[in-house]
Amino acid sequence: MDGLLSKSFLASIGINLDDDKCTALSQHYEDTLNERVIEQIVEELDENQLNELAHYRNGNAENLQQWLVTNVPQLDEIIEDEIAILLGEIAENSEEI
Amino acid sequence: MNRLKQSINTYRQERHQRKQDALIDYAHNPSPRPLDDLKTDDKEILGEHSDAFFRDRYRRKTDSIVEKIGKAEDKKDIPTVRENFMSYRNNRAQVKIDRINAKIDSSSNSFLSRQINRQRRQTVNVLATKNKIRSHTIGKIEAKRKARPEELQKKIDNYVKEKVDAMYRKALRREMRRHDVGRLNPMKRAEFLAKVTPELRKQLTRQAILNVRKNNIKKGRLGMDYRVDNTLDTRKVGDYGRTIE
Repeated sequence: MDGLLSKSFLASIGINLDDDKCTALSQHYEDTLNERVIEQIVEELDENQLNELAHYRNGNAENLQQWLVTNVPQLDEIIEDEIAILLGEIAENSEEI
Repeated sequence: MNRLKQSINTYRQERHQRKQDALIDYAHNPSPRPLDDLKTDDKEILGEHSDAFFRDRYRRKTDSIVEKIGKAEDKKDIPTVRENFMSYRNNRAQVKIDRINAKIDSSSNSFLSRQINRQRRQTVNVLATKNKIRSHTIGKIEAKRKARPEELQKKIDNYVKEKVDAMYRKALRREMRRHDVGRLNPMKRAEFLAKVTPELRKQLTRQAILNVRKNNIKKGRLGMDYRVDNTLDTRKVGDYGRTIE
């Protein structure tokens, strides 16, 4: 399974899907999380930081990771919150999935 | 010294004479205005022996006021612009009312009552349908909720609670940012978001998630094999299809 969501988590809230559907749901979750996280990160930056970030488009991942940790002090909290919000949404709509 | 006293006396006598002359002049040249127009008499106000200059000034002023009163009195029946407008508006409203009344008068009672009844019936039906759908949906949700095992429902409630807490923290951060003057202007932010490539978007998120991934893996929420494939253009597996723009 190469999705972001774990199958055990889905099963724990009563969502039992076959592998394909589970992967698809997980990827859908990942895309949504991508969008929300990037928006939050960008919200935290000022103009200079934003210009710096633009230079990392083709840079290596390690530098980017270091840059994020340095420039977005609330990064962990942002990610935790976005994950919690998405998981909560899935749990709320578990009957319809 | 004597010369000074003499000149002062002379001046006083001349001034007295001028006053007497003014009084005589005023008596022989009364104001042309009718006496009835005056509420008060200038002699009563200024005194019998007041200066002719002030009496004349007072007389002219009162004449002017009387003249203004007369003009205003003449114009009292002419409507002002505002009154004209008001009457026009009232007339227009009246014209409309008359027109509607005429329509009602000319149409049969049965036609009108049928129209009104139909509209009323439609409204009641729409409201009833809306209520029915709403209560049905609520009933379904409640039934599902009751059908769930208690343990499962507790877990779901817990996730929902965490979600609400996270949303609260998010809102708090937004509020704190709002008061931070040095932060990015919303227009610049929107421009950047519009330009950001999907690759950068994914790369950023992945790197960000790596920071907190361990905890989430420990909690069993996130998959162990999470990876980002930047080469994919579309993702469609099962019922969940999504095109990467």
